[in-house]
Amino acid sequence: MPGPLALIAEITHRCPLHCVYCSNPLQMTAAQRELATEDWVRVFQQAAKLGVLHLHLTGGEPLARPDLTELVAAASHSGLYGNLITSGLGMTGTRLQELVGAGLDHIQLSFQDARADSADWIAGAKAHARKLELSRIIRQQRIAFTVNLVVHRQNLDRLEETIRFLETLQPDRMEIAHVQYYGWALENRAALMPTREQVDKSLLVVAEAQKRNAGKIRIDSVAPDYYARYPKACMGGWGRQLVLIDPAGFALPCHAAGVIPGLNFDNVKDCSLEWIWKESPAFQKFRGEDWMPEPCRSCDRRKEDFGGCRCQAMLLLGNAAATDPACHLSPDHQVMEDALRATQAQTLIAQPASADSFRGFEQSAQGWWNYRVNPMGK
Amino acid sequence: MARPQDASLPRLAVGCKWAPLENSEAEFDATIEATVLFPEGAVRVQGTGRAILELCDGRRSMLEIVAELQKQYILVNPVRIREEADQFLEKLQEKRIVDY
Repeated sequence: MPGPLALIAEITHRCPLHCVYCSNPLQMTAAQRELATEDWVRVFQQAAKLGVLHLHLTGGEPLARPDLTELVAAASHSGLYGNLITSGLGMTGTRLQELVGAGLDHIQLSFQDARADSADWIAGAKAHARKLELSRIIRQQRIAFTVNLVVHRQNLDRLEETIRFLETLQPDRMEIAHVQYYGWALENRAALMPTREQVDKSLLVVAEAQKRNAGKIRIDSVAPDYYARYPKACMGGWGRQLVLIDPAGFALPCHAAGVIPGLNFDNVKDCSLEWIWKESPAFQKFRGEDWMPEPCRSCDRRKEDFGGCRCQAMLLLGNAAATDPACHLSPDHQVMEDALRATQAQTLIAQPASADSFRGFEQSAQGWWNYRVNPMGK
Repeated sequence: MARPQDASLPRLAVGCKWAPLENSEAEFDATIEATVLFPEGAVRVQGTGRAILELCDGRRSMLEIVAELQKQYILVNPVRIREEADQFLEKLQEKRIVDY
């Protein structure tokens, strides 16, 4: 069996931002339970041996770990391609220089909006101005630079303006991703789900931007699966391409896999990554086609989308082994259509509030958002 | 973006690099597949593709690269070599894997 292509290392769940669509689980890992430096270093070596090419350092906010430079150096020594996915908070010119010196190849900086008030309102923190400053610092270093924008009902109408703003930051790459409804995003789905009209328009805006920036900025986009006819090939298929390790060392086939009951995730403190990938029951559970129900089992697309997302089937249908309801062939597709109908009927309008603290944002958004909180002690 | 010029200095773009070869001791052999890593992806190259890309070190000009290739592929028409190298590099430039 081929090894994984990429390792997603969620090195901490701590984060100065409180984004309403955070993909972290609702139950987060406390700082005291985070893996030690030497555990991560061992995992990176095992990953490289197993054939992993890319390492994605993410969180939470990975800069919250004081040993980040050490981790980047270890990954680089193992031959992994190092990518840092960050909000930018906690970065300084000196720290960035250290990270690049340690062998970091790529930095991915998140933006919430082109406008500071909306951006800070979504993030639950005064962060936008800091990100602007940081993108100038990044361009002074020799490192690939991606800006990432998550889009949803509250910012999609300004997509053109936002993309043009992001162009001025001169990234090498831009990622425009629709919210995926897991974790905190699912909690906030009613206010985040775009209308069909918004989605259709956004596809045109992105296509235009791709044309305008051809050869200068590579623009990748992630479509919203609630509006698709077929499900996404989540994580490239269960246990086929990616492995995610959470802050405490548990290895998961996907960010959200913790929501599936009855799965026992093994920990890199107890087992080798190779064993986890090849032998562990959790990674084998939905690998291949034996678990598939109809209509997937006899569908031509089963080798393309692998039945869609197991976690979405769990979250929306209560059955992880069902066809992803995003597929129009799913007998339960109705639940998606019901969610979309509810969206079209709503008349919510964004009302960005300014505040200086998370408490302030939380108070001004009462009844609006469930802001992602920070992990509690054990 | 235009095709590479005679004096262009093609090189891997920032954030793009060769993956370590499994047998790094082996002599250069273009028939063996090698991998270039870039943000969020990887591309495997072999044969002429690998031979061209290995020469793109940011120091050799396009003219020098084509001259090198002519030594390696002695039976191929030089005009065709240049044409193929141009097309290949232009495609990679659009993907932001190569700069020149």
